[in-house]
Amino acid sequence: MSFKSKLKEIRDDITTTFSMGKLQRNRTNRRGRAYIAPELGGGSELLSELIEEQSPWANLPPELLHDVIKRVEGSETSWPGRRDVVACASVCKSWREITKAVVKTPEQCGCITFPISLKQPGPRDAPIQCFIRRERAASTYHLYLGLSPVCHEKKTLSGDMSKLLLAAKKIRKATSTDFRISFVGSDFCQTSNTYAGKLRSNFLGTKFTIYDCQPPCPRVKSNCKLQRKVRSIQVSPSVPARNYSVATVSYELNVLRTRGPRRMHCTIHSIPISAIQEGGIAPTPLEFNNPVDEQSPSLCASKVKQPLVDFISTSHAGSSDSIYSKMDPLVLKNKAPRWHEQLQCWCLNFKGRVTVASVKNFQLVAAVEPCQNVPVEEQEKVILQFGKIGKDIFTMDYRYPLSAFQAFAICLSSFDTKPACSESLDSDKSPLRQHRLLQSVHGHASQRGCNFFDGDRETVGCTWVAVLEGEECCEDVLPGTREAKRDGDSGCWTDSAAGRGWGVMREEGVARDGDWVWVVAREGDGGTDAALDCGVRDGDGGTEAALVSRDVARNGDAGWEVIWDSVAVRGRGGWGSAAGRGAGAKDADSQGSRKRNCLSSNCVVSCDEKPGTVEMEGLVRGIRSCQETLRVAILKHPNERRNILSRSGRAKSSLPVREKGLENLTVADVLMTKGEEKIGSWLWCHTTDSVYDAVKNMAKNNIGSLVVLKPGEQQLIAGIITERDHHIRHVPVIDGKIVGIVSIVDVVRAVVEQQGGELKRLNEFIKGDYY
Amino acid sequence: MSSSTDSPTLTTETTQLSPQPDTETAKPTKKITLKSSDNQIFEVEESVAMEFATVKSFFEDSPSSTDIVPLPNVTAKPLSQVIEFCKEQIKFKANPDEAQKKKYNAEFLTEKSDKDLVDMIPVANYLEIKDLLDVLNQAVADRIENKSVEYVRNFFGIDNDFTAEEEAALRREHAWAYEGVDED
Repeated sequence: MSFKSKLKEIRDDITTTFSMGKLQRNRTNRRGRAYIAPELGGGSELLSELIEEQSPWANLPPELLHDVIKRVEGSETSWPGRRDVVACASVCKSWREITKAVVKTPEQCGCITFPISLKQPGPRDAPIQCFIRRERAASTYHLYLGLSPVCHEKKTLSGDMSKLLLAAKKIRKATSTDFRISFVGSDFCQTSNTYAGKLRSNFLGTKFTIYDCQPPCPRVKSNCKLQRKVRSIQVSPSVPARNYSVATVSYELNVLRTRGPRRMHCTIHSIPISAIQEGGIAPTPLEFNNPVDEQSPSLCASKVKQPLVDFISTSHAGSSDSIYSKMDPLVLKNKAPRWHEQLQCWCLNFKGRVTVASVKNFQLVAAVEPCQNVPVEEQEKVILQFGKIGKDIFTMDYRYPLSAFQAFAICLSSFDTKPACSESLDSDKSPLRQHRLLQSVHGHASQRGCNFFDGDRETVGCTWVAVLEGEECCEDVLPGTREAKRDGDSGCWTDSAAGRGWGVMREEGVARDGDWVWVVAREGDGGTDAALDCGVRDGDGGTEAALVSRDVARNGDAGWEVIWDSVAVRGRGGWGSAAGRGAGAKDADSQGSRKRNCLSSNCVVSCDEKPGTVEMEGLVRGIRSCQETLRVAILKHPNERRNILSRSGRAKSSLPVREKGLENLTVADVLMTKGEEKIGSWLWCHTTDSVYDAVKNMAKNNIGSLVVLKPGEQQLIAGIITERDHHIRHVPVIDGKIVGIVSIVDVVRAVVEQQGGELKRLNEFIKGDYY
Repeated sequence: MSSSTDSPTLTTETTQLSPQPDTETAKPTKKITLKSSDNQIFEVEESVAMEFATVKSFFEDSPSSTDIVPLPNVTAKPLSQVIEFCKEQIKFKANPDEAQKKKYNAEFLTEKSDKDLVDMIPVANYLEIKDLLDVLNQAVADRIENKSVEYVRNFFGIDNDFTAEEEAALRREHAWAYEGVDED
């Protein structure tokens, strides 16, 4: 058998290997072109000549080499072993071609082999699991392949266990932020040949553009009728030559000044929607097509522009939308959470890959129009999932049609969104922070429900998570937890009203014995609004205090979201005075821990100080220690007020009068406003004193009136003497004996204070941070 | 065969009969004579020779031939090793013992140098001994595990036929081939 005929066989063999299955058959053409590298001109003769020229090794025919390489490839399905395959491809030309023929794309085999794999679509079925580690100090983000969350818990994140795929560095600019993405962790220069692309944000951090360093791969031909022209990328004049805009990510802000669960909208211009239609395929670059050192600028430009001609002629650069609209790009949106009947909550199932609630967590699915003919199962597939599993560690699972590069860039955008709207609220230095009730994290699918890990604490069975955007960073979460189970007869939390979300739990404002939390839902126009109030009780029946937050749950068309607008009780320390101080009852007067506090249906948890459930007693004490109002409790249960206040010892001094309204203000209240030291400081004279002495006394103290006392120890009042006779400006206050004196100035001050307080509250109410 | 292998000293034993009692000792076993490219003569039992598909088909084409079978692509040293291997395999065929067989194969491979292995592969291929080829290819694949590109080139005696520019481009395309390799 001659060499050439054998070679021919081998080549055919290779081709058939790859044309098995419908998918591959579609692209046999492309493969044929691809694996006979362009420089070889194509054709088996060339390949065989090549091999025959390799004198020392000519006796090892290509099919043997093929077999050897196949074994290398087959035995190493994970990194770092997979490196050997890449090494084989680097040995010489014939090895390179054969290796390339053996190695499949991630879409076909689920393995990442060559760096180019990162720009190829992921597998269609099981996602490729990666994780991202953030280095805050260096502003870098590293994408690694593999590793289960278990490994993270055990802190076995050694570099040699995991394969570094991509690295990004955040670079702040005057009007935007860039994340430069590189194939190596050490070089983020845009002109380096390790540069992979970048993500650029707008000034507000709400819209991002993903740039790929290389122009899109050639148009894919397909038998599929639905297949449209796939490729076309515009060279934006404002960006350097090696950046081609391939996708945009925008974050929707909601009108309530709170972003709440982020709603993302990704438009992948480089992938047509047809990629997820029946029989569709996503563009798959097969090699880096413009290594810097080989390419003259003109060549580069012509390569890029050629596919553009069609589009440019009809629309002009600059409005990229109009160019892309012709090809219906793939659009991704957040997956809507589902109502979980058993847990009685809204859940997103992260399949155990996300264990920590974070505002950053998301799942993306394709957003399709009915006319686009996308199979239902494709619509439900989570194409990209990103979530937190520990401090600075996040998982990223992606699949077809996204590439690792695209997925990584989308995830990076989640690191940079800014609380654009909540900043305005902060301008008044309000200690209140925006709180969000965010997406739930459905962790391990065990009987115990969901587990949240936070340090050594594990909270079981909780699904709703409140997220605090604290001062130090907006990503810190508070693993707030609400018991999803019902609390016996009280029916806290949910009476389900399944499908609508929160139901009516209790009458508004009425807390019953044993309730800690109740929820009020209102039916709004076009959706359900729900307000969440948290009641706190002493256990002996009366409401001691209430935390009120005006949670708004909206059932919009894009799914359900709950926004934790704010928290009622606040103190000097920060938002979570109720929770924080409650948790740290032993340290109630400290500035409090601002972060990682949470309210749950029956407990307050602080991770900072004392993990675990805190006694109600502690919470109440914590609340009392706050020098702020417990408004709702006081308003709803005025009779309790004295009780609380006296126990908390606050009634002694400087009690603000603002609780009562002017008509209810008493002389005692006015007297109290004068402050303790002044209450007893009235001046008097005796009936036996001379008028001259009295005037001298008034002049000396710069006052206009003296109380006249009868002689004797009892200080019985005989009358009052003033400097003038037509206005009574001072009134002594008598409680058996004289206890003080109230002047017109005191009354005016009290009134002004009352009105000022009211004004402030109204202001706060209008602005929304009032409780 | 253009192999640079200088043929080993002609000590290569013309394979003696090994009158094993457990094989079919009753019949006088037929011998077949093979001739390597460097003109060494190997006399092997027919059963062994029939392991070589190439030889077998030679006899199928001309059953009565008693000639020496010339093997123009095969030098003596690898051929002797191949014969050694096949003789053992025949024993295992008669007397299947997977564990024993595995053990033998492993030993057989470990005592071979890299060069031996690389030289044997074409022989096994030419003679179409599928089992051996399997074993050898796997062994080779194992031996280049976690080795540098240069090591692999040396291992197979391959010239680097990339130009400097291609090499540079390759470094990017296959950058991962250059990280974390064993010492050569």
